[in-house]
Amino acid sequence: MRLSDYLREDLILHRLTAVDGAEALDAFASLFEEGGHIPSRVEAVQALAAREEAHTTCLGRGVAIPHATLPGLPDPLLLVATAGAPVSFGPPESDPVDLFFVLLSPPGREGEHIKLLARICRLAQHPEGLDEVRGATDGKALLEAILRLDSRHV
Amino acid sequence: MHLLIAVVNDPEKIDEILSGYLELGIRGATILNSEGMGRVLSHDIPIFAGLQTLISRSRPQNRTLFSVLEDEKIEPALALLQEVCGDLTAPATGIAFTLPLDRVVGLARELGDDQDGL
Repeated sequence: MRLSDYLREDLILHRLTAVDGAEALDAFASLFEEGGHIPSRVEAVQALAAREEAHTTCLGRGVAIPHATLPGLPDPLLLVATAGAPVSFGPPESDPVDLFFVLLSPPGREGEHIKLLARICRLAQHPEGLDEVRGATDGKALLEAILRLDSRHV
Repeated sequence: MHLLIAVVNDPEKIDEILSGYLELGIRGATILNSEGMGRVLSHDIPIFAGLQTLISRSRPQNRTLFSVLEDEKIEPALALLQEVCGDLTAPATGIAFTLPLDRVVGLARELGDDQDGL
């Protein structure tokens, strides 16, 4: 499982500005919609918010993986975003988040979805790689930093 | 099919190993709290008590993982264990070995085969 198989230049968001989780989810869904990747921004926000409400997707250390199943997608979609300033996301006791991996998958691809979550969780346990991703100066550098982190691990 | 047994000396590595197992499509593993011989010798048997050679290689507890794998997943799983735990030939990291299996009943299905939903 490699993130490189799922990363796309147009689904990289450098320095997101959002005051809270709702704004962040809306920004993610908007980017998916602008690229023509999803049938409905509203449904994407609702699906991500519903998952967030059921169980937070915050991993700690400033990382979250908002994710959901969304009908109408041909394949799983992965968006990566860094925040200009950490965003209040998830329950009050959670650390603010400045690095988001947003995953949407169509129904029937649950196994692939879980493997992607597992891959992201594993990469997120390497703070030095995350620092490199956070330090990216633009979207291109951000994508390259994630690809480097991904390639360093089996 | 093979049984992969991995004794991991650092329990904090378990999260990363299990995430890696999921990535490989390994859905099931049994994890036991375990103790190494050095730990037991150096703490429970008076004649060996306090011997640095034994203590330096031991932790209060390690973890033992049992997983039944398809043959093609053995090498990726061993590579994963060595990435997470470090070179297993180094002392105090762990040990991993496989055993061929004649029969397996009750193996969890591959991720996604059963369309569980998320």
